[in-house]
Amino acid sequence: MAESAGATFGKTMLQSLLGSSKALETAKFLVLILVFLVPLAIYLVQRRRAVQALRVSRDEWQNTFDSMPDLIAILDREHRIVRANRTMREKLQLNATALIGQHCCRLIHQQDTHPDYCPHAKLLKDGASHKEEVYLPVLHGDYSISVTPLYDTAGELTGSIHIIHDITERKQVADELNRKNHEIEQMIYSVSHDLRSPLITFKTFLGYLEQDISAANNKRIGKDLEFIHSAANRMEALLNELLEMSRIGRSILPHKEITFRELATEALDAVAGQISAGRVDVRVSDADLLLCGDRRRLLQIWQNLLDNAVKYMGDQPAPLIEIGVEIQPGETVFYVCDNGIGIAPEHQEKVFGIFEQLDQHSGGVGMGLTMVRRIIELYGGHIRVESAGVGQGSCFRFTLPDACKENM
Amino acid sequence: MHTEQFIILLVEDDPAHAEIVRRNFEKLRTANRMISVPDGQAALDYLYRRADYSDPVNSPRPGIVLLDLRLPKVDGLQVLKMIKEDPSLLQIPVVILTTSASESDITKAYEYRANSYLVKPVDFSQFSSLLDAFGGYWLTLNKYPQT
Repeated sequence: MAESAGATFGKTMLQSLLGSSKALETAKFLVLILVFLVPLAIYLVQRRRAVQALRVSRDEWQNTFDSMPDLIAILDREHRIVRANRTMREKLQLNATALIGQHCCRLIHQQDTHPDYCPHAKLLKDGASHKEEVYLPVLHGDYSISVTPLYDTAGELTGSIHIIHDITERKQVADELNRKNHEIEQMIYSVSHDLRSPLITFKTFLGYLEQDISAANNKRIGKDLEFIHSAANRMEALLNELLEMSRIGRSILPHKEITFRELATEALDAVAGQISAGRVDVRVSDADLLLCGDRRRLLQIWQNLLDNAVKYMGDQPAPLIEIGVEIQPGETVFYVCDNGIGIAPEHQEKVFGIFEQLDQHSGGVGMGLTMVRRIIELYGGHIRVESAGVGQGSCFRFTLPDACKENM
Repeated sequence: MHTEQFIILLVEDDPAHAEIVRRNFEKLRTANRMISVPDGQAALDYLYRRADYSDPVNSPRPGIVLLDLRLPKVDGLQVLKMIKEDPSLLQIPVVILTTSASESDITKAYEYRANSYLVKPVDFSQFSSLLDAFGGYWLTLNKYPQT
């Protein structure tokens, strides 16, 4: 019995042992899973995250690359485009497939070889960054082109990052500044010349006066004094007008609303004397417009133009001045036209220059139209004169965009 | 030297300056006659005998032109250029007489083949001696082509 009991015990033990060996297997399996599969899973999860992060970073970089307002491309050593951002694709109106692999020279410069100034060619020679400012006809503007070298991991030069930056606006501002500077230089030149002239007259005629006084030549003394007087008057007029010119930009009265027809009427009143003396017929257009600006300055425009029109009427048997406004979509053009002596084509730009006078017997010092142009420019406008030539009358046309309110 | 009257065409917009030149040439007592025109257009009209100057008796061909630069209507440099570009006029010596001593005016004037360039001095005696020197050289010594 004991044997049998012992046998039973042994069996049970074995069974339990066997059973526990199964459990051991299970445990071993679980350990295996823990040791190999969990890290694998972790690895896979991490990899997935890394790939995602990479994708996000790539997309971010791509978006950054694409949203740059500059035209950016990566060029290889053969001047071929490897990558191009969206701005470049859009500006050149080409998709990526059409762009990639193209030669920069053909695409941008529309020629088979690169231009002399090509910064990329310079970079390929010396491995340094380069920058050039050029006008690019294909993009209709001025651009600054800069290149930065690109190297591979082995340190070999593979190409460049090629950035085309639009400088058209800056260039325009610079050109405008240059034009203004030139105008100022021209003005200083004219002023110093025109002030020198009466000075010569003073000194010379004072010299004559001394001689004539000692010779008691009364007739000549009178003449000498006359010349000195008129030179002094001219100098005074010059200085007064110069002062007035300098005030145009500085003293601006508060802007007020005034209609074109009110301005025209007021300006006509100011020159009424000359108009009736010259029997000039004046026609004012029916079209009207509300303006806003320094009333006194705006008035000076019409006053000066009307004054000129009357002054340069010549011996026209039926003198006529027409003033008005043409309201067109996008631009409102004012005009003061006459059928007077007209202006030869070669003088048409000259009339706006300071101290330029078409006729020195007309009185004044030749600053009227310079002043008119200056006021018009203050209101963002421009003025030009049209005349078929001498004897054909003249027509001054100008715009005042910053003074024009909505159409009435 | 001059059997008939030698004509000086003065192109000067400032009447006072024209008077200064006239007074100085008067003293010279050479057989010259100064004709003064007030602007560039009048100078060209005179030289081409147009408009007010169409009568050759009243507008004899000048032997020399004394030309100011800053002139109404047509600029002095333009007048000079036109004279020197015209085969019928280019023999007439053109002497610039101006207040401008600017480098660009001087260069331009010689580019357009001015024969001489004089700057009006501000000082009375200097202006007088300049015009005396001008008379002594251009109206006395200088030999002119037969026209």
